[in-house]
Amino acid sequence: MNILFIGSSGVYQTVLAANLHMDTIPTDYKQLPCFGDYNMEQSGQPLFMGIDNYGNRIYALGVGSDVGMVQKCLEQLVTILGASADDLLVIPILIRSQGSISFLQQVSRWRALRPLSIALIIKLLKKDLPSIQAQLPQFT
Amino acid sequence: MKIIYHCYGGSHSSVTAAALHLGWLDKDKLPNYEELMALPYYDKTNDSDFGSIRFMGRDDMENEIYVLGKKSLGNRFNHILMGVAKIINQEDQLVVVNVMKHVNWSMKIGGFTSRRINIPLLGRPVVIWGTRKAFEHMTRLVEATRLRVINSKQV
Repeated sequence: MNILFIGSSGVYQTVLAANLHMDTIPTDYKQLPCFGDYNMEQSGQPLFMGIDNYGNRIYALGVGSDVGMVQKCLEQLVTILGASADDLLVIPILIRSQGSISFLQQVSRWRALRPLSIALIIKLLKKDLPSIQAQLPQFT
Repeated sequence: MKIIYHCYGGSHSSVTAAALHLGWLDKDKLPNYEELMALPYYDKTNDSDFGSIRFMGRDDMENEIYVLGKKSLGNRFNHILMGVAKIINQEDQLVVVNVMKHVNWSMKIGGFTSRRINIPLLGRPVVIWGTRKAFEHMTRLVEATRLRVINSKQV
């Protein structure tokens, strides 16, 4: 099965959720693959994160502020293309700080402000960590 | 093959393009008020329709034609949909067409007034005027899409 984590940003909370799910979280979030990589995010393509302990292929994708709308759309697309929820599981990651993260993402376009904005984003993500963990899929 | 025409609300430009693709509108004749309003979903959607991929019909090549309103996600949405299709190995079964580039100001203002703030009496004539103005561009887009589909089937 494929698991796609979607969120307002494709390179922060979704990358974190994917790596939490795969149990591959380093102490420094900046070491996560694709973390804060806006070029990858702008491609609009789902980012392959790795394979979890159950053999599922894990992806992260940024879809803008209306995560629920895109989730509905992607689930319908899977059905229309003749696949099922067993082929692709879409997991929305909604966090309180997503608005602030989007703002800081805009701020970090100025190169001089980038280190500060990423440091603030990491701080927000750490605060939202319990919420992200609660949204991960549970397999038994 | 599945062809999805998408725009902001999935209510005007994508529906017009899909209707052109299906041959419901004559590409050589500007549609009038009644012809446009007779199209399913044309200026009839509401907020809950955002993100819904709605089936319009099958074309003469048995392709399934859909419309979708994706708000302001822009051209990036093409990559999102194609990327997801690729994950499930179905990217050769999907064509995604963004109609937004042919949406003019009349369609934006008329569509907003009719669907968003719910005053169709004011917005509908404006959006229909805009649709007629953009009709030739949409015809070309649909022709290009049909050619693209034919070519992809021949490969």
